[in-house]
Amino acid sequence: MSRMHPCAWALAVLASCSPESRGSLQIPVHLAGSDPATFVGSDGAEVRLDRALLVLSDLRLESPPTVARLRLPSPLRSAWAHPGHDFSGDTACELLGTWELDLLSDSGLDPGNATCLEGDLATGRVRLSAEPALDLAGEVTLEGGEKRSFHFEVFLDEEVAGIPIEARLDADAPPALLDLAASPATMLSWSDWSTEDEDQDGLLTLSDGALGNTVPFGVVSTASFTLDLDE
Amino acid sequence: MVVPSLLPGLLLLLPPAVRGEERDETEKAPDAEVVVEDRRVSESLAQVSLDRDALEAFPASSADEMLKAMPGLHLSAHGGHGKAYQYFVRGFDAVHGSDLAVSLEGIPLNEVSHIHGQGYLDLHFLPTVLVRGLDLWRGSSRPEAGDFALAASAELHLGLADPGLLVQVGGGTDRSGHGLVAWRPAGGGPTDFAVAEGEAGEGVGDRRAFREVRLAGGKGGWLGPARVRAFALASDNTFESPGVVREDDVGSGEVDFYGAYPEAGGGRSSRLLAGVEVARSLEAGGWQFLGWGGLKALELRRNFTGYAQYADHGDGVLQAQEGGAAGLRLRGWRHLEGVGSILEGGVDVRGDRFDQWEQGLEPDGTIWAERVDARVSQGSAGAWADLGLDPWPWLSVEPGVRAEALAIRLLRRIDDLGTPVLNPRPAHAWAPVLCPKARLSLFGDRPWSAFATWGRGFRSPEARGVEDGDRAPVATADTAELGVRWAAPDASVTLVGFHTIVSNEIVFDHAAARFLSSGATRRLGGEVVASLEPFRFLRVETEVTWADGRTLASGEALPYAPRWLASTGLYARRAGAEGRATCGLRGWFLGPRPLPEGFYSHPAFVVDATGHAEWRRWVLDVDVDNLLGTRWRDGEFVYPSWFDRSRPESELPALHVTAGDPFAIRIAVGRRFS
Repeated sequence: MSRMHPCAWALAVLASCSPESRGSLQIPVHLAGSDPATFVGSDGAEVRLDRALLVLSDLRLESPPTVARLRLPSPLRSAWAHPGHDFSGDTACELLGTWELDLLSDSGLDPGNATCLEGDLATGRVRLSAEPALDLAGEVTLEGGEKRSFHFEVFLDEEVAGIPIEARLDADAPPALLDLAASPATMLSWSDWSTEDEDQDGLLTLSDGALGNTVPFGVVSTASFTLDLDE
Repeated sequence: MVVPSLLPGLLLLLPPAVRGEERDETEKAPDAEVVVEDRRVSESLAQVSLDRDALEAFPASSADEMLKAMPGLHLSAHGGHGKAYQYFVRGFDAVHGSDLAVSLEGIPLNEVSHIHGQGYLDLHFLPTVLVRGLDLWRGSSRPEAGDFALAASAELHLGLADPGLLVQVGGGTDRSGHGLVAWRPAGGGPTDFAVAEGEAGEGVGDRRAFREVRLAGGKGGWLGPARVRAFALASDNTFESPGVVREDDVGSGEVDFYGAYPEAGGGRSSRLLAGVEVARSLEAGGWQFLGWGGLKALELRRNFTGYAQYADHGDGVLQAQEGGAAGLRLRGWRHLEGVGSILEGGVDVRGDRFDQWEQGLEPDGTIWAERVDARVSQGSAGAWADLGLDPWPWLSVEPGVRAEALAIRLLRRIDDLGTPVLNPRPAHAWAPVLCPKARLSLFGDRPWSAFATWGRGFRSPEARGVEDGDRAPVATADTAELGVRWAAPDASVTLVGFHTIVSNEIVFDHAAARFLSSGATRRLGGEVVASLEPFRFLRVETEVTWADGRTLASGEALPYAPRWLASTGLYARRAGAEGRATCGLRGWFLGPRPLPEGFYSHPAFVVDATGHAEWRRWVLDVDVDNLLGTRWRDGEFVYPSWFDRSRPESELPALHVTAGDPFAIRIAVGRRFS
């Protein structure tokens, strides 16, 4: 066996001291609705969904902000430089694409694997930007027994941000699944079902009363989505 | 690749070394030498000095690369052949010069409040043939080192070593060509010179073309009892910059490792610098006056992020700056009889005035956004003193101090939204800085010696960061060094430990294109430098530096600066009656560097070589980059980008790289005329 040159030995020692870069991992993603087709809202109204289609795109998970981000107010406000010496983005996990999710489907949707980086997770976000982003139709039975049909087509181009997910990703022990669940019940929880049918078309739509505000508000509400990692 | 490996052998074929050949004798001519020689009482043992012979043997293709002779310093050329390098020193990411002060014969070369980064340091204007000596100091214990001397400082000495007319042409496998005409009159000293140099090339890979022209002239002489010299240098550089490529694109074969995206940039840099120096040696001391002035213009185009920030226009940016600077330096030194000491002091005054712009650039070159349009006037006045005391032969104490006053005047012609400001009013700010220093050495006259230094360095604030009436924030760095050295006639070993606290670190944020304040930081490290001369013609130097930089608040590692740097060099020189030859073979190891988001860069091991031979009137230069053909990454950055718009935009931080120099050999042949 030939003797190792001292310099090569020294370099090998130095290289062996090398810290490892943050690892990456792939996590299968599952999208699904979280509610049954019929549910009772907090106001006692029973909602039956006949159609519930949600168009989602670009799911991202983010690391928690850290001191190292150093986005502090600076007395050096306007010193300029070129890129490359910067802080990188917060995103730690990403699956790009656009998916039409039937919230009433039992099986949900498996859009693929998210590419993730090791480390802590704090929040997630997903974009709603189709025309329409949400298509909900069904019938609501009020507490008094009155039945009213509804059809909401929500046109949006907005990110739902800040969906909580407290977890730590480890490339050596990757989670089995990343679940994103959307709750139509929560999306509709701000709706006032006694709203007058102003356009007299026999349907509650976004044109009627405050539904044009409350339904879109519910759709982009962080509470309407949950993120979970299955071990 | 064969040529450099043969050079050491060829050296042995030359006649035995005869020191003090014709060239040196001419340099020592009393009526020609006007360089003020060393007056300093004691030097930190962390100093490195290279004379022309040492520089000839050090593999460096530009004056900037000569700075790599400083242990613990690494530089990156990610901006192309013509833009300032990025410097890393002792745990500092000195970016383009923010923590490394470099001067040429006392003229500060860092540019204050530069549009491309504080302390922008570009030495491409300087012909390497004119670098006659180089002094490198780590730490901040030199009182004469002013702005930007937080991590280290360096002084370049100007002069043409060899007399006569040299005409040289060459070319290289990196598709480059080079021509040089250098003239030093017979009987003249190193300060008498005229140099014209041109260089052009395509580089290896895409978007690496460059063209450089340099002109320089100098004249030395006597004005009564005082020595006088004047010099002027001018340059014009046009260059392409490959920027960065995504590592995943390289991996998938979408772009070559030495490739570039169509959005890659480039630029043009022009500089004129002139100085006049008058110096006189007196019986017990001396004085020196230096007046200098210069003009500089720079235009840079770059796009490091594709379309990630502006999907419609692209993230291209044009930065430009035009202006001038002038200053003077007065220094004196005097031996204090009976005390065994020397007092040295000086005054430095500097003024800069320049306009700067930053604009959003479409891929076709159309300007679509105005971001900066400002005029900056910035001045500084500093005074320093250094007292060297030798109370006993085994003890040397050297307290010193530097006081500096900074003044800034800023005229913004557009606001932060890019809207023109009607009747713009200038903002004024000022700041005082006091930097105490101290050096102590024990047993400096013995084989075993020890030394300790402590000093505060400072970095002036960015002009565009001040508001009217501000007392401008000045970053300071306190560095303590402790070292021991063993020295024998043919060998030495120096061990140094250092600790630096920076009061307020500034870090670049490319998204905001500005510095962010990150609070206090510290560097802790050590270095070992060993030198051995087994034969008179051969010197072996090895150095290893470890530096760990962290924020004080969070303890997180500071990004980009290497933790481990190591190098080994073999330098040989033989000289005889009819010729001389030098060569150098230097291998260096760059350890993984912490990057943002928990990433680490790739380590690199690269060997460079150089050779210089003269036989009668013929001159041969051989430079080899990356002798082993290592595929290494010069720049590595982590951030999200979006270059390929046919794919959805990812926000995941991605590794971006700039390829390091591949193997290339450049050969130049010249002839001297009397």
